[in-house]
Amino acid sequence: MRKIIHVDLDTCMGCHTCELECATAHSKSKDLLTAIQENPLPQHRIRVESVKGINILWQCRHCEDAPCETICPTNAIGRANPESPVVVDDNKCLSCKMCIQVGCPFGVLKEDNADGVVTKCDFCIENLEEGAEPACASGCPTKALKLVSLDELPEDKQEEVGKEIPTVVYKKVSLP
Amino acid sequence: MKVIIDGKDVELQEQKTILKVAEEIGIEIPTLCHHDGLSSYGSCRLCIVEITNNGNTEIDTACTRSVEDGMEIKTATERLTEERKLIAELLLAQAPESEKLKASLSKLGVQESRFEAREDSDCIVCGRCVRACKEEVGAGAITFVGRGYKTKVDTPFSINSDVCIGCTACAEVCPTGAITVEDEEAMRYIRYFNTELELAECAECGKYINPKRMIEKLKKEDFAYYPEENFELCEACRRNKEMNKFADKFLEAK
Amino acid sequence: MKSLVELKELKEKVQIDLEKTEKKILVCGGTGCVSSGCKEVQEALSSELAANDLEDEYKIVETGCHGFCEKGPLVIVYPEEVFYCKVSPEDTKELVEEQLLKEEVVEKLLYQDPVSKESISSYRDIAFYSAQQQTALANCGHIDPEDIEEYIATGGYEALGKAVTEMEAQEVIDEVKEAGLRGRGGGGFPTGLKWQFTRDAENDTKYIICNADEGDPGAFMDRSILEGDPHKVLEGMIIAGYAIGADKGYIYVRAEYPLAVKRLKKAISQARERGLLGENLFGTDFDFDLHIKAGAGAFVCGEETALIASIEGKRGMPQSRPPYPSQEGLWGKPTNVNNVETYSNISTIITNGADEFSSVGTEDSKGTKVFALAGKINNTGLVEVPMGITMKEIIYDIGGGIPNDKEFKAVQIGGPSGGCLPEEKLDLPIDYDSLTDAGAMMGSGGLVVMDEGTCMVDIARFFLDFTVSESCGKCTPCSEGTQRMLEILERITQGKGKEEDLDELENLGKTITDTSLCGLGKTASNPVLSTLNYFRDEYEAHVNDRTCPAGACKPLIEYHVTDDCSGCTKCVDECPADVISGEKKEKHAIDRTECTKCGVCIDVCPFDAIIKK
Repeated sequence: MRKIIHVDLDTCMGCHTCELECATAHSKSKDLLTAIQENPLPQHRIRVESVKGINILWQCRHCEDAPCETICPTNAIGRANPESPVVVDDNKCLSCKMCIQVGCPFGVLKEDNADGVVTKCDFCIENLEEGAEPACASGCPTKALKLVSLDELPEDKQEEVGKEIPTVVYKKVSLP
Repeated sequence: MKVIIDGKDVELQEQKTILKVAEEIGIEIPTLCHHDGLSSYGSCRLCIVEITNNGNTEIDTACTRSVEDGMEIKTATERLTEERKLIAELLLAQAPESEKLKASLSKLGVQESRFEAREDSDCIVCGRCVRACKEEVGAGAITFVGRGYKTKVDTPFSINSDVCIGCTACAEVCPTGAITVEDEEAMRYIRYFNTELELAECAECGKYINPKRMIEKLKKEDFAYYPEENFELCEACRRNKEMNKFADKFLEAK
Repeated sequence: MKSLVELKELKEKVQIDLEKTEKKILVCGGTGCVSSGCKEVQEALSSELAANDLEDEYKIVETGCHGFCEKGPLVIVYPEEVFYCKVSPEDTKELVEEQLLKEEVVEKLLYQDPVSKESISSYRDIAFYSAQQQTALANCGHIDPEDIEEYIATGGYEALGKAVTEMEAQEVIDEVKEAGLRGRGGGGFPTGLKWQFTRDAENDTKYIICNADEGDPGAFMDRSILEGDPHKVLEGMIIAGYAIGADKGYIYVRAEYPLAVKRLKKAISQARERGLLGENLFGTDFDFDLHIKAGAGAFVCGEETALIASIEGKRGMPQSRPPYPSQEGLWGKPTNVNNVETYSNISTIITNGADEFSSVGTEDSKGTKVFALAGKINNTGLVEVPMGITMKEIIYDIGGGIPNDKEFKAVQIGGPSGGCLPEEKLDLPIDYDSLTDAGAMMGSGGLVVMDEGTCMVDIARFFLDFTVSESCGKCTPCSEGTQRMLEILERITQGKGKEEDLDELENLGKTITDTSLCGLGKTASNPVLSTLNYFRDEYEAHVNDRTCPAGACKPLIEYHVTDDCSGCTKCVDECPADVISGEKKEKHAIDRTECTKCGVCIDVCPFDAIIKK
C-alpha cells in the first residue's frame, strides 16, 4: 500500500530539524557533524517556512501523474511501481532543467550543487524499502511528521492524495 | 537466457546490454561516452569486452552489445587492459588539460599519454553533448563538424545558434568539462559554441531565470495543467505563491 | 511486361533487329577511354562515316568499359570483330577507308603481342582477354548500356521472369545459397545467407540497397559495371527484392560518377516503361521499384550502416552491429545491402543454375571476381577472373608484367583496407580466406602493383593517409589511432624514426584492428601491418640507417654524380634549382644543400651518371 507523510501542522513548531535530518540523510557521510563540513554542503529537499503565521512544510508530493516525469526527456524521473515514490535517476539526468522550469507547480525541484543534476525528495527510498520512516519523519522531535499508509486516512482524504494542488484543507494536512 | 560474465553464471529474462548486466552483478566496466540517459553510441571504446559465442571470440563494446544466450564474456583480460590503456592515452592526448577526464581515467591507471598532446584541444568527440541536444532535449543546436581526427562539435558555421535553448545539458554531460556556461546579468554565454542567449526575468522578484528561448519552447508544448503565469516565475516565487494559497485555505478551514 | 513469354518474344524480335544492323562500330566509352580521348574519336568516326556515305550502313555504339584501358581508346568493328587500340581521331579516316570500304585490316592500329611481336586482330586472342572469364562484365563493352533492348537481346530480365513466375521466393534464395556466392564488396559474407536473414526478419516493409559507393583509390569495378551494363545490376536487385519480400530498393552511388548516375537513371526509366519495374511484374502480384541516392563521396559511406544513415539524411557515421541491417536497417526496417558486382552475378545464377556457377572457383570462393589492375603494370585495366587463379597469373599473364624491365616488389590488394603481398605470395590462389590469412583481403577488387622503385614504408603511409582523412571521426581507435600511426610513419619517411616506433606501430595497429567500431577502422592498419610483416627490413633501414632502399623517400636520399659523367653540361642547363656546377668535359658536382631532389638531372643525363643513394 502506498505510504505518505502525514503532517500535523498544529504540532509542528517550525524548528527546521526535518531540514537538517533531510540534508544529513542525503550527505556523503550521513552524520550531522561531519555533513556540515562537507563541500559542497549537502542540500535538504524539504523546507519549513512560516507563511501567515503557519509553519508550512513543503516538499515533493509525489504526484500520481507527475508533471516532472512527463517533461523529462530521458525518463530520469519516475517511479518503479505505482506505490513507489517519484525519484530522480542521477545517472540518467542530463541537467537540462526543463523540469525545474515547468515540471513542478510547487517549485520543489532544484539543481544539486554538487553535480548539477536535479534533486528532489526521494522519500528516503532506501529507508522505505526496509520499512523505516524517511529521515524528516523519524527525526521530528514533536512527531508532527508521520509515515502512514494511505488506507489509514479517512476516505475523503485519500482522494486528495496525489492531486496536484490540494483543494480542501483540514486541520490535519497531509503532504503526500 | 544464460550467460557467463567473468566466470559468474547469470540468468536473464530480458534483453539487456552487457554493460547493464555487468553493472547489476557488481562488475564495473570503464565507460566514457556512455550515459544512462542517452542512446548507446559506442565511440570511446573503453568498455570493450571479449565475447566468446559459438566458438568465436571477438571484441565488442559492452555499452552497445546486447547479451545473447550462451555468451561467455570476459571484462578484464590482460589484452583488454592493455588496449584500454592505449585508448585512454589516445583520449587523454585529445584533452590533455582536462582534470575531469584525468579523474575518470585514473581507474585505468592512466594519468599521462605517450602521445604528443593536441594543441588547443579539449574535446574527445564522445558525442554526449550532441546526443543530449538532439535526441533528448530536441533542440539539435550542435553536431559533428569535420572528419577523422579533425572532427569537432560545433554549431552550424560555428556561429551563434538560433535554436539552442540554453538548457546547458551539453555542458553537464561533457566528460572533459570543455563546455562551460556563464550567466552574466541578463545573458547566458555558452562560449564553446559561440552562443549567447537572453535570460528571462522572474515576473515576481526580477531574478534571472531560464533563457527566454527555453521558456518559449516549453510554452509551445502541452502542459495543460500548468498555469500560464507560472512560466514567468522563478521556482521560489512559484513555491511562495502556492504556499500562500495553501495557508489561506488552511486558515479558512480553521 | 505481363509474362515471361512476352519477354522472350521481345527478345527474339530485338535479336532479329540487331542482326539487321550487324554492321556496327563499338567505341569504348569507359572511364579510361574517355580519359584517353574516345569522345573525339567517336566524333571523328561519325564525320568520316558521313563523308563516305556510310552513316546508314554502320551504327556507332558507345559501350561501357571494355576492360583494356591501357590500350584505349578502343574501337571494335563488326561483323568482322576487328579490335583496334590506341585509336586517335587522325586514324579514323584510314580506319573507315581501309576497314569499312576496302575491308582491309589497318595493321598499325592492331594490338601487337609484346613477346612475339605478332599483330592480333581479334581481342579474344589477346592474352589480356583470353585468360579472363567474364560473368559480371559479360556485357560490358559489348552492348549499348543505354538501350534496354540490347540487354534483353542477351537474355536480360529472363532470370527475373523465371524467378517471379516459376520459382518460390525461398527457392531463389536456396539457389543463391547453393551457388556459394559471397559478397563482392570485400567482406565476403555468403549472399544467400544474408538474403535469408532479411527474408526471415519479421516486418511488412523491407528494403533492398545496392552499395555503389566505390571509393578505394585505383578501383573502378563498380563504376564500369554501372556504366557498361546497368540493367544487370537492376535485374539482380529486383530478384533480391522478390526473394526477400521487399518492394523498394535504393542504389547508393557516388555523385562523382555522373555517367553511372545518368545511365542508371535511364535504365530505371526504361525498365519502368517496359513494366520491369513497378507494379505486378510479369503479371504476378510482385511490385518493385528503385530509387537512386547520390552520395557525397565519403569513403566511409561504403560501410553499410553509414550508407544507411546517409540515405536517411543523417551524417554518414557507422553504427555498432548487431543489429545488422538484415534485422534493423533503413528506417529501422530489415534491409539487404549488397554490392554492385554481387547483384551482377545474380541473373547468371538464376538462369544457368547454381551448379554451373559453383563449378568455377575454389572450395569456399565460387565464381569469378572483377579486379581493377593499376600501378606498375603493363596492362592497366579491368579484368574478371575465376576465383582460385594465382596472383602471378593475373599480374603476368593478363597484366603483362612490370613495365620498363623493373623488378616486381609487391601487390596491394583490397585497397586501403587490404594489405601488401610480396613476391613469395604470388602463387597464392585468389580467394577470400587465403588472402585474409596472408594479411590482405579481397576487398572490392583494387589491385595495385608496385615495382622496385616503390618504398613500402611510403606506400603504407600513402594508404594510411587516405584512411585518416576518410575516417568518420566517431570512434577513438580509428580517428585518433590512425592519425598517430600516420605521424609515426611520416616521421620514419622523413628520417626521424625512432627505434621503438616499429613496435609502437604494431601495437597501435593491433589495437585499432581489435577495437574499432566499423570495418573501415578494423582494416585501416592492414597496409601498415602487412608491410611491417613482409618488408620489415625496409622499415629498419629507414629507422636505423636513415636510408630508403627504394630511393623514394626524398629526405633520405641524396643525388650523386658518378665517374661516368662525361661533363656534357646537360644537367647543369636543365637543373631547375641551379645547383649543378661544372665545366665542359669535367665531372660535375651537385650542391646537395640546395638540391630539391626533383630528379630532372637523372632523367636528362645521357650517361646514367647521376644516382640516388
